[in-house]
Amino acid sequence: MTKQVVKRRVGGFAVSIWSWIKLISKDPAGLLGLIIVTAFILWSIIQGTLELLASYLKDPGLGWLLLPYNPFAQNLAGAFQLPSWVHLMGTDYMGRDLLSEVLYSIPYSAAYPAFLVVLSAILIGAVLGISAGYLGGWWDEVLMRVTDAFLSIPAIILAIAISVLLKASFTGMIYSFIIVWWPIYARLFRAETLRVKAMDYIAAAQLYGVSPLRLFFKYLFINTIDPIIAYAMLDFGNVILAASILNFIGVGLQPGLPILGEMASEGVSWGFPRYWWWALFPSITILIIALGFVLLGDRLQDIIGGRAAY
Amino acid sequence: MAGRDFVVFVIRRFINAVITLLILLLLMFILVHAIYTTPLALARLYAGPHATMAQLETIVKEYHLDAPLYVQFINYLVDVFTGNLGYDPIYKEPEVYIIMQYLPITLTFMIPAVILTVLVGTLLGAVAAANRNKWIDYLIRAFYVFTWSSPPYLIALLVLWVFAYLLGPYTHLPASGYVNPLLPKPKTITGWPLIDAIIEHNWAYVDSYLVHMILPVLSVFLYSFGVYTRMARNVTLDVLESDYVRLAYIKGLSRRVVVYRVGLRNALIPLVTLIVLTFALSWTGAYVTEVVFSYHGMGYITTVAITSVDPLMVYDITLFVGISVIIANFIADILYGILDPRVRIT
Amino acid sequence: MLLSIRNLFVGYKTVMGTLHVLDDVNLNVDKGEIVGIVGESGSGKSTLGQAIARVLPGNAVVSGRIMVDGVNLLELSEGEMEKYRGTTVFMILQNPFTSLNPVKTVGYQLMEAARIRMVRSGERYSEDRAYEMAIQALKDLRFPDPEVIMLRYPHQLSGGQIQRVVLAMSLILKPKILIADEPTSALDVTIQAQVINLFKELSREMESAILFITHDISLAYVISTRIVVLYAGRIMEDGDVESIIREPMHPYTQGLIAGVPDLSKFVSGRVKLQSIPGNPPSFLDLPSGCKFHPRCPYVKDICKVQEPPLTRHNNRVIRCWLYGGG
Repeated sequence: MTKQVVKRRVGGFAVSIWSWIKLISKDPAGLLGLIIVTAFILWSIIQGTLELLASYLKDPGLGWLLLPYNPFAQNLAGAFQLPSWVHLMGTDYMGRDLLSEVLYSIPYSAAYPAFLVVLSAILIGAVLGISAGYLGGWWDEVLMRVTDAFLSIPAIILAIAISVLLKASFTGMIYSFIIVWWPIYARLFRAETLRVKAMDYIAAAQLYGVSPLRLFFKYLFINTIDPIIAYAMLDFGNVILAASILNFIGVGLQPGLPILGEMASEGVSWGFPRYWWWALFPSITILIIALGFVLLGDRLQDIIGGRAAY
Repeated sequence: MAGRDFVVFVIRRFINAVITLLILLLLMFILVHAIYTTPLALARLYAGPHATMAQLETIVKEYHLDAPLYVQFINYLVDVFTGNLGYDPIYKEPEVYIIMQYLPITLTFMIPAVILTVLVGTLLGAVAAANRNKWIDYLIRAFYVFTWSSPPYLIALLVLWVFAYLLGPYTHLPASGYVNPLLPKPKTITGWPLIDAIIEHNWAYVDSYLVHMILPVLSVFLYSFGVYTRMARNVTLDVLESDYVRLAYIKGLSRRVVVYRVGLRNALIPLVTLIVLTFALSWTGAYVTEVVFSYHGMGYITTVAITSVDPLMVYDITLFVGISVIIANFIADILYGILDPRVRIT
Repeated sequence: MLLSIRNLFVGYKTVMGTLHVLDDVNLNVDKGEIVGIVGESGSGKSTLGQAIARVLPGNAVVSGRIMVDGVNLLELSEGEMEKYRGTTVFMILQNPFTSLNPVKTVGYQLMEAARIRMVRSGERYSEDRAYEMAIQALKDLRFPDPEVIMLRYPHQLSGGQIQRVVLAMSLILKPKILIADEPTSALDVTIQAQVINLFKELSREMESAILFITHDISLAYVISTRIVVLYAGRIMEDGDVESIIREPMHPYTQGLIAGVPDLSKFVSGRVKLQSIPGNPPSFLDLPSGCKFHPRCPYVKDICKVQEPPLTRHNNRVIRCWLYGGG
């Protein structure tokens, strides 16, 4: 009985953001995750905007306004420097400051892939999954079979294959991720829809003659989305990790721009552990970002799943 | 009678696996044809990056790339089922041949890693669930959260650094390769070097192979361990809260019996699905580990294929991986039937 | 006195703070008594049963004393308590479909219970004897083909059959205190009647003290020798079944009886057939003073401010300002 009471109170989006924050923070791990994710999002927005402005206004300096150094400035004499107070993360083979490179690359190495992929996957998954769950029949069967097939290849492996077919560029990588990522969301939405479909208010809405579009948005989507939000939070971390893995292998790069996964692989190929900072710091950056999402998502799943009592 | 039920069950799952395979092939086929829309573009896949127009046209004729789509698909299916995955333009050998050189290398270290993950992960997940919120639970959770959020190359790098370099003098573990290159290779009996060496009693080779395998196995294990243990813990927690566990407790069975004999035994059922997931996940870990350790398996030739722009190879490797997961799924389905009477007895 | 509960308090720690569920529960149950614990859903009655068997979830906070044959169960260690479960205290759960282990046969689970019984009685375990005990219990529960049932898995049985299997388990275990938590709520009415009849027969055989938890006061009337009325986690009235039904003292009890067509005829013309207005309170938001005051037709000022204590009137225990409070 207690579990239902807590779930009713917490499970709806009607509860304000502030009380969610309080709930999350009750767990120190959840709080840490929240802090990391917030810092990451803020930095991505600020730095990302600066970079966009820099290319619009043709003033590259804006891009590294907040960074300790110009990440593109080469200084061959100062190459391969160990981390020091001058260069907190050391320098790479061209003498570029690693810390600046890392900070510069965060928005497009991590933030853009994460949000583009997950949001698109949720949208596609919602449309396909909810329709499958709601309409049932052969459409449902077809969707289940297709998602089964997709899910039988590990996401990253398939993403590599598709990216390579699409010429291994950054946009190719994003498209391939979206193709690979939507099946899980379709499955989740379908399962939730089946659960919600059995509830009376859907039948009531149908009897009322609510239009299908309105039914979709106001009834089905809103009510199936809760557990999916918690999963999506974890998934942002998954996409960031997956993107960095593809970058590590050499896929999805943007010529001329530093990318976290690529920096790690360059560090390895130039000599590990000799130039350990070059491979390690970008990897640790990915770790910290992913950790934030994992902690936050884990905590959210616990709260929504009613497991957060203590 | 139970025996016959079970055979029917196995056959049904097998048909299911075959259907999934067919759909997978269809999807891959559609994908390729959606990207390479003309017969000439397709020919480029087989011809390599430096083909002339004339070569391309010959390939179009030879492989019937201008035939209607459904004909091509049928040809494709026939090819796959007879083991013909095309002729690699760069290596100038049949793809299947190339892949079978590298596949056993990867599987030989991946499978022990998965087994290790499952055994350790299930146990630790159960312990964490049974001791919820005590210090051991927090310790296990901290450990899996870290390994889960780490990019696999970071794990591989750290394993390499700590065990091969820092602790090198003590462990004498090699930093790269899958076997000492100076040792003579065993004759090809099964195609799996380790097994061939064992059959031949070539113990020097076996020893070197196993030693080279330790760090990569550790690396893949640490990578897959996080996701698996977290799920194992959650599944066990859910099972431990169920009514029948409570009833078993009320009956007077000891806590240990209730948690492990009743709880864990029931948790095994959803865990079997997780095992398949872990197998699928560990392919990714294996790929990256091979790059870091210069371990010449499937991951290694994938990266080579990417740099030398050989999409056909990447495509075929991916197909192999997909098939391996479908097989793993099939085995898991059978296990499901063995573990859960509700599935096999109606 | 077999079971003696003193000042029992049970709360649950949640994300919203600590929920106070049971409070000031004082109850005595003797051998052979069948006590019907009656309350609406959300009154805390399941919690009471779970507290006695000490199978509350991990976030529960408990204080007070639960004395069984003079031993305070709440002070026992896990290991010691383990010996009390099954043969001293046993519980039948509400939902039959989730009560049994899905991966083991009925026979296995019954024999498991038999083994526990044998070990606790000091007998040496013998598989044949355990099998016999299981078959006999199934026969007592009117299963026409016990040998077949032993080989079945729980998912192959109907709800009524599963509850009878669990009852068979209690026959085997012979607990001193048997707690039945809404055992028939999930069953069809006809099966309910069958199970209830079996229950009555068995309780005569078993000499256990039985706590029959239900929301249905007419069901409690059929089965019990005594009725305890629970509301918002507090005992409101406690007395033997005939007197409580004929002369309910607490306004809540009166309301419960008046809501049942069959029973209201017993009440000497005081209340007509009707339901109690309002809803039971949520444990997150309990009213001040007497927890029933918002719905009570006889509410006085003091009821809103101070909670009445449990007082004794002849053979009745009652918590209500209408009858003085001492």
